[in-house]
Amino acid sequence: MSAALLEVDAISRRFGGLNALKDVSFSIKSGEIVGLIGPNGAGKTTCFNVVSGVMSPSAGAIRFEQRSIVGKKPSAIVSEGLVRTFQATTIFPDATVIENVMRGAFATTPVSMLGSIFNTRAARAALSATRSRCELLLERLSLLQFRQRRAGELSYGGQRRLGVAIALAARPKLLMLDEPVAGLNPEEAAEFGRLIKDLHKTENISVLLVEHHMRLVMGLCDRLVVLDHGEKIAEGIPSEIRANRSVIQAYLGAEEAA
Amino acid sequence: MEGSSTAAIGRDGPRLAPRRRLLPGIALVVVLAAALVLPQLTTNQFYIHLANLMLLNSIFAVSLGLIASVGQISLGHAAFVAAGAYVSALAALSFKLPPILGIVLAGLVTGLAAVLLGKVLLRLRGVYFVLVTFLAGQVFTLIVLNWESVTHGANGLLGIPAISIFGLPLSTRLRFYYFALAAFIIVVTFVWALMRSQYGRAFRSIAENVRLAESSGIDVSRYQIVAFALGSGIAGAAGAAMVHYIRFLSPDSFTFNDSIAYITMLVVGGRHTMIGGVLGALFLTPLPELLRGFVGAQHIIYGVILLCVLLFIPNGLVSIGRSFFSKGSETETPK
Repeated sequence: MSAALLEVDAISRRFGGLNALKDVSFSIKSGEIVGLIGPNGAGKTTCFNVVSGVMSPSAGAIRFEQRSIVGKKPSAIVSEGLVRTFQATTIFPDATVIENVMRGAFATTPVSMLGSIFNTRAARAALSATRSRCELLLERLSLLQFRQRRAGELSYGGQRRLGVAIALAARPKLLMLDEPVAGLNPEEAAEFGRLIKDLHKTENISVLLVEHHMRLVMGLCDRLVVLDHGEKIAEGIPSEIRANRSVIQAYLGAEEAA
Repeated sequence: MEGSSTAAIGRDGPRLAPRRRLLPGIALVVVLAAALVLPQLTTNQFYIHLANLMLLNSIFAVSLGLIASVGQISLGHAAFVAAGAYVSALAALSFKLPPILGIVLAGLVTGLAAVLLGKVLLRLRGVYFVLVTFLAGQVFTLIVLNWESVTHGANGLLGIPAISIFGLPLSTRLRFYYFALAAFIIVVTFVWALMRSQYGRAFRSIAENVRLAESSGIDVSRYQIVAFALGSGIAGAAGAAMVHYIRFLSPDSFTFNDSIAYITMLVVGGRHTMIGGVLGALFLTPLPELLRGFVGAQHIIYGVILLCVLLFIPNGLVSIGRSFFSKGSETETPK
């Protein structure tokens, strides 16, 4: 039994009078793939934003590797090893593909800023090591042949994979994916699922996944956390969740209505 | 265009490659040699004065470009130039501080002011940042106008000493020219090295996608402040250098119109590259001077040129040169 990598402890987030999140707790152990699901407006993305530091929680605690990350800037949280992707495609469209990944690796490139201005030998060595690492990532995501292409010219699926490559370049211990397959066709989505599974093994990372694509979530995740109206209504392994009455109700409405 | 360039590489790539590396180098040496020799060949002080203004304006535009490189446009850049000028002029007049030290002091003071101001202003994005920088510039002008005991208000400061290096006063236009040229080269080299470094990578990331930059571990507010402070500090130092050349300073010396002029230079030259600011300054500085007959029409001409550039060469003058130099760029062989 490994220790919890991420502990979300009774977080709430209010927008004016609206409780977007209310007393939500869950944890992710090292090596797990956890899915965060729920109907539209359930608070999944708010939860993501709070955990990744984009918003602060109105109440509650978040610990990553036993250290509190509440109030830290998103960039500082990335350096701790918690890296997220965004809903929809999020890349640097005007930069080349390799430059995109180099930017993702910014915080994990062991180079002094001054050294990089003077382009010292150490800086060049560090940057070329990072470049090799980024090329490896591109190869793993089947993007290497496009490395000098403008990122905006990639196909939609390619841009999605690039988004993951950018996140991986930051050497995450926990990768948070916000609807990674939204907008992809079924084959692409299935392929993306396999990719996540592969990366989970080869990069030795834990994954927190927000996703609507049920088949993907059920097939991929070790455990699911279900939100509805900002509250956690269920948590368990996929087969339990599939049979859970309140989950079915949240998605399909009460039985009487049907 | 991409298709034709790829074909060119396929045909004679190996021959093109060394020339592509050599050509900018040769061009640089030629330009530098011309910059060193040409002023010696003319006795027309007006041309040398123009050259001095072109060099100084280049520095102003490049420093503004540095701020713009993190995706923020400042309408108060001239206020930093003026602040630097006042710091150095007052230090020289009141405390007999040698101008060369005054320039350094001006850079430090304006850079520091930008850090403090940036901590507040840079929370704002887009049009709000633009508006507040405009207001900050106006407020600065008002302070200078009304704080008469120190700044002499609208009367301005007279008798500002010239820069003196090892006892040699740069009191002629030609002497100042070589000083300005050296300053220009230092600034351009510094900004070039900066933009090539991890700082440049961070700046461009922020300009292109703030959210993704932050979630890539780039501390957005920190790097925005760095860019704002460096850009403003360089502008302040250059403003100080200019005031020891013009040797008179009033609240009208650097105004909102100058802020607009720097932005115009940047856009006309090409706002995405450092050299764009230089080209814009070299192109636009002589225009109002040469068209002195049309007093009042300067801004109309600026506007018309700006419109023409935006319509016909939206990426600025630099894109003309780029398509010349990079015939068959994208050196990586496509697979």
